[in-house]
Amino acid sequence: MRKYIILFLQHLSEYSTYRMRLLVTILQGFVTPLFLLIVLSWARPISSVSVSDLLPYYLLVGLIYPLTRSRIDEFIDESATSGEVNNFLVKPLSFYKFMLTSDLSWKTLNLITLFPFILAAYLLLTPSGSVPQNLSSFSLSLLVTGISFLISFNFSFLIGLFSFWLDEFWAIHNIKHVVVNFLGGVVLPYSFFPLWATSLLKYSPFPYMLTWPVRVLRGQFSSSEIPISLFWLALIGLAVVFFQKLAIRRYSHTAG
Amino acid sequence: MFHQLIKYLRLFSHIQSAGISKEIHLRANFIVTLSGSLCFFYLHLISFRLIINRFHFPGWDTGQLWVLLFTFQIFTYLAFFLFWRGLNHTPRDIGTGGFDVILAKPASARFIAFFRNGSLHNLLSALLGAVYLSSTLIRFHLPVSFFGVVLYLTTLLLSLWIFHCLTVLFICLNFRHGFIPGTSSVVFEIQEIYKYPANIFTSSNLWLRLLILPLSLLTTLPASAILLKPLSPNLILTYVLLFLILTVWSHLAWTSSLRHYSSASS
Repeated sequence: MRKYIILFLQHLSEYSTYRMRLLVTILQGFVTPLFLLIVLSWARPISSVSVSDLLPYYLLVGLIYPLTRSRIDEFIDESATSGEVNNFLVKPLSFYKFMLTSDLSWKTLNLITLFPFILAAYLLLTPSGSVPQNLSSFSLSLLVTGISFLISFNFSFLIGLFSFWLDEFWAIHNIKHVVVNFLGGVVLPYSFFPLWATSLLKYSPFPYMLTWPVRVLRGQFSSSEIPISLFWLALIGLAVVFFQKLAIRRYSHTAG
Repeated sequence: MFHQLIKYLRLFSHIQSAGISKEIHLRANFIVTLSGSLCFFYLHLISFRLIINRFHFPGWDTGQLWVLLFTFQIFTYLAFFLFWRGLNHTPRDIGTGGFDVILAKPASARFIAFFRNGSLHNLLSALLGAVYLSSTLIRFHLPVSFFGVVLYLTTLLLSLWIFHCLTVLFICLNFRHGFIPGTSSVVFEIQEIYKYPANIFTSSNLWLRLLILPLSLLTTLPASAILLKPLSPNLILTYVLLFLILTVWSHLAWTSSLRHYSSASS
């Protein structure tokens, strides 16, 4: 355990030197919603959904998305193609725990940077009623952020293992990115989806990956969501254990 | 001039056919990359459908909006096909000195740097967009004339040229300031603008009119052309000015960047 704490601190110090990368990562989450909001503010709503409803949603998604999403699949692809996986085969280090430590340190840095903004957004949005003033939902959103990150990380890790079989991994990454972002409510909130789709989606892992903390903050929480999310976390975790063994058996990198 | 055009068209077709035949050879990879490409295609399609179910865009009915969306798909995937590899490799070549090889070739450095072999999956996605566009025109009984089709293809090519000029301006920054991450993809990152009709921004504030409206014209103009939908003279003038300004500006930026380039090894 001690070695992973040291690794965590090392990664934290390494990532904190790349301030521009941190800034770009945070700003990237706002680009598409910003343009969508600009466009929709000049369109005429024909249903109950209006731009004034979307504004707080996208603001919170932009702030929380960098904490819950995981791009570890891209790092796994890099490690598999560069031969870096060799290190984990000869050293007493777990590949999974190394990647988790690396991603956790990146998220911790994101949290330190974003927390004041999340708090400011929370305080700003409560008087308008967009976010109910409720300390318990605020604390609960911190807990579900942790669960969301773990589901997101494990799912991304599972997808990343495909890079042991495929050369053109970016395509699989694209598919994962599109499916998770769309079904996870990042591209459009669930209020845009038909009712049958949202009722089906709540039993899938996607609502619990990226935007769950936002819905909890906005008071849209049901206690049945916790066991469903934990079920998916356990299932994806088991799949990771199984497929990692297969992937390492398949791995045959001998040179850079 | 004509001989030069033929020379570059031949060069372009050789580069593309070499790239495509290599891609077809690796069939499994091709299927995977095509799936990755189509995933974004259908994301745009589904999200657009959900948006137009909730929002109305004045001056555009549902059929016309779908024509605009498929024009956006054709435009985006053609831009990916034509420019993506060049946009990805050129900043790296500038940083590593690989750009020396481009300069040493007996052809325009701008052509060699930006028009590299495109990926077949992007071309197929653009063709799928064309199939959807045709079926939309039939399904919504939208009248199409030969003149409209010619005008559509011409304005689509002009829009791709404007897009290219814009990317050149961003890539030129790498010559002066070293490798800047994101310069390759910045013009693709803002693709949400190209998806919606430009005329909704005409009553917006000055900044939106200057920054967003001209870019949304890149797809609005071809879509209006095939629909023979009249656009205000101001919008057409904006498009023409955008074309002229970006053509001259990108040329000046590129030639000045080449003068500035001193190879990574020097």
